[in-house]
Amino acid sequence: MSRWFVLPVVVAVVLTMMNPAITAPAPAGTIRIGMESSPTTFDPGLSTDLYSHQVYSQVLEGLLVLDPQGVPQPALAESWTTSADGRTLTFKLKRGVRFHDGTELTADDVKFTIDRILDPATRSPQRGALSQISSAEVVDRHTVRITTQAAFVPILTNLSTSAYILPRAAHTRLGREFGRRPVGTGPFKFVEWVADDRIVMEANPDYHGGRPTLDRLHFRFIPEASVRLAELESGGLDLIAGVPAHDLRRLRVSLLVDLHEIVGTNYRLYALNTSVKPYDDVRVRQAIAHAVYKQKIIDVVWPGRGVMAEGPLPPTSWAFDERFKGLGFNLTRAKQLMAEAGHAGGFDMNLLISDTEENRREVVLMIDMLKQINIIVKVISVDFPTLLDRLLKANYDVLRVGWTTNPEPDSLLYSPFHTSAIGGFNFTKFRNARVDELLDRGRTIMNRNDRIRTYREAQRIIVQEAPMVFIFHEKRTYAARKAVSGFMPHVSGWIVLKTAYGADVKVGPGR
Amino acid sequence: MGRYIARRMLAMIPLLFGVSLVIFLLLRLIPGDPVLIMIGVENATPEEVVRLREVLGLDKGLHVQYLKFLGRLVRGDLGTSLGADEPVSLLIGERLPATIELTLAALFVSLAIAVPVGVVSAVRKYSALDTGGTIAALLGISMPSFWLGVMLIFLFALRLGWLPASGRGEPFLAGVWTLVTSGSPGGLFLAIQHLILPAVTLGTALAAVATRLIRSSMLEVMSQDYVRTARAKGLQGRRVVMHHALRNALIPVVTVVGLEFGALLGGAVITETIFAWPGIGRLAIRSIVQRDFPVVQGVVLMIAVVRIGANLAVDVLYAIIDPRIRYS
Repeated sequence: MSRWFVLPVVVAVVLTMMNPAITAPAPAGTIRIGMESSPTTFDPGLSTDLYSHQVYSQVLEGLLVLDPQGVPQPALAESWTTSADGRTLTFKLKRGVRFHDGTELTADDVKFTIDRILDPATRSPQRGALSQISSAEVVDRHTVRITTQAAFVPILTNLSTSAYILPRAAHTRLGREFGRRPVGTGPFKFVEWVADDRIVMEANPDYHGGRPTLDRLHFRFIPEASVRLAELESGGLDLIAGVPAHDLRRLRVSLLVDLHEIVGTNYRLYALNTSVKPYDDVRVRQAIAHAVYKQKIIDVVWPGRGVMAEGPLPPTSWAFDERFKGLGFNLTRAKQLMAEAGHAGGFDMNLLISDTEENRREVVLMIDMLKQINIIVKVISVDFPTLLDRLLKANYDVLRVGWTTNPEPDSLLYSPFHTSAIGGFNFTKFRNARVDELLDRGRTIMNRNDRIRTYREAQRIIVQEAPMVFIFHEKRTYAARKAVSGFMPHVSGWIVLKTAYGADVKVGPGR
Repeated sequence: MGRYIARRMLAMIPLLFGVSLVIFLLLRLIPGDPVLIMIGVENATPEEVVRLREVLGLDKGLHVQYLKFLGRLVRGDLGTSLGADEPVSLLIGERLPATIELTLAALFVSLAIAVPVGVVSAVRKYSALDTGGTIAALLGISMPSFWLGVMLIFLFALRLGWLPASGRGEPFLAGVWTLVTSGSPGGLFLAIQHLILPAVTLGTALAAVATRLIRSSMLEVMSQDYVRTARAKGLQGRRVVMHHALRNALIPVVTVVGLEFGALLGGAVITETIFAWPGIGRLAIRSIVQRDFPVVQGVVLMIAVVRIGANLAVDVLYAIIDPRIRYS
């Protein structure tokens, strides 16, 4: 009998002792990266999710690329010019750039890529980002002309994030297979994808921005944050995205691991439906904003994971206004405003949240804070897709949600606050003629300083009108073993390893 | 027997229709729009949403959508994923072997623990071993797998560094194949190393249930007349226990373990998430969150097929274990 019992134990112990995999370090020059979720596809025309982007952006490139501050820099385009009316952009392609299969990059590939995204039959989720484009024409082998319906400055950012250039020949040949075996011009070549387990890439020695220092990339997909960190600390990974909140403080002083943090271009907010009573009254909305003690929400629920928001523009945005102060915590003012609006006695608030642990904890604080101005909060907790559904139908009174976009202020502000987006993502049904004018203007002026002024003024009005209570801007966190050098978190949440503008991550020996 | 199995297989068909209808309707009952999640908040314009909905056929009436789904299903086509634009059967086919491997390994772990512990507990009733086994079983039943999994990772991967924290390494069968063809055991070791922690996590609860079951079943059988007779014939204690008692005590165990196999498949969803095991559980979770209807339908149907198949296998096993049972 004892034989039965002992056998499996002996087998297990022997196997662990032999241990060929764990003790063997990864070969020099290989970086092993742990992501939160696996990508859906390598076809950049068919997905917008962060995880797909993190892998296809290593293999493919756009005409332009966003630098860590979110400003478009040359990638496959060497230079570009804008016509006087701002509607026509002419891009000169870098010469001699080759796709991984050896074919040369030409203007025809660029036209193919853009036409494909715009073709409704492609059902591309990127189409919205490029919908301002009316045509893409080949001028000569290395020149492309892109025309927009009206002057639309944010198209440069959108081309960087949503139009990764496909090789026409290879894409046509591979068809649907391209999503699993991509061919690009990027710093790394695709090697292998084992579904939900790993993706392997190798350095492209002929990369037009110089050969990457890294030889190989291993992406692994580990949904549990604590397990991802355990893999990093036990030496199974070199870099992870998404660090568990309760480990942040420990990792800041770790001798083994470097913590990297960046405030993303996002804001976390409570939306007040301005088409519903009593939230149609600006005094009620301002009162609610004054009653919320934002810093306390951050300290209790998001310690070290967010910075307080004065308005919708985060500190990492180039339009950020460091001198601007929003509606701060001021109970006296809040009570006064409630009284002026005729609600000194308060009212019941239906608050819709998506069911996550953080939201549940946040709501407990909100209940307490709003009770101070006699508002009784009733919480309705649903899953995220349900919340999104009700948000788009503006079928709510107050809801808690986040807004995350690319670093372009137009993306941060236009659809949530422009009157034309009511029925779409202007889910508070906010209307303000001056804000509409400013947001329209921001799309057409080229001068960066003028744009900054325009967006700052729009922010001031929006915050004063208070269709939303802006709570904080969330950080994205990464942890890397000390052997990794040159890693810089990117404002968009992408993992950038090597780019034409100069990023180049290295892995040293001492792992 | 053959006719019996064929009849049971036929009976599967209406059952699967029922499953397909229920899952189809359930998915559409929960709110949440796959198109919105697909496009992503920052890119969506209302026109874009309406257009994509048309392209994907989500604007049609529910009965039309269901009939289309059924029409494809009958032809063996599970449809195309909304998110990845890939055949659902391919997505499932890539991951099902990993889930089955994990489930079988968990079954092996649980029986490797339950049979010896259960038998010893019964034979040495009320001994220290029996009490220890009872306590361990109680712990095993009470421990949630997400907690146990994380604790095992901390101990064996992080503190001791004996086993990898996550991932699959190599498919088990691929490891066996390399060993047979090239004589190199590396792949097999890699496979087993990666299997141990998730299999123990998934198998612990079943091990606990099965231990208790084997103990009580053994106690009952041990008090039967034929066991006394066997002893009276002068057979050795061990022979009586192993050949006369255990074999008969296993009949209820087979039932429970067979049914639990389905539960293990369900439990694998959590274990796969913790250990980043590339199986259908993670596919299921992701598809539910993204409201990728065709994939969720495919995964649920696949689990239903495996579960019904496991039940059939249990009934067939009865006949083998207990010669008194005959099917016609």
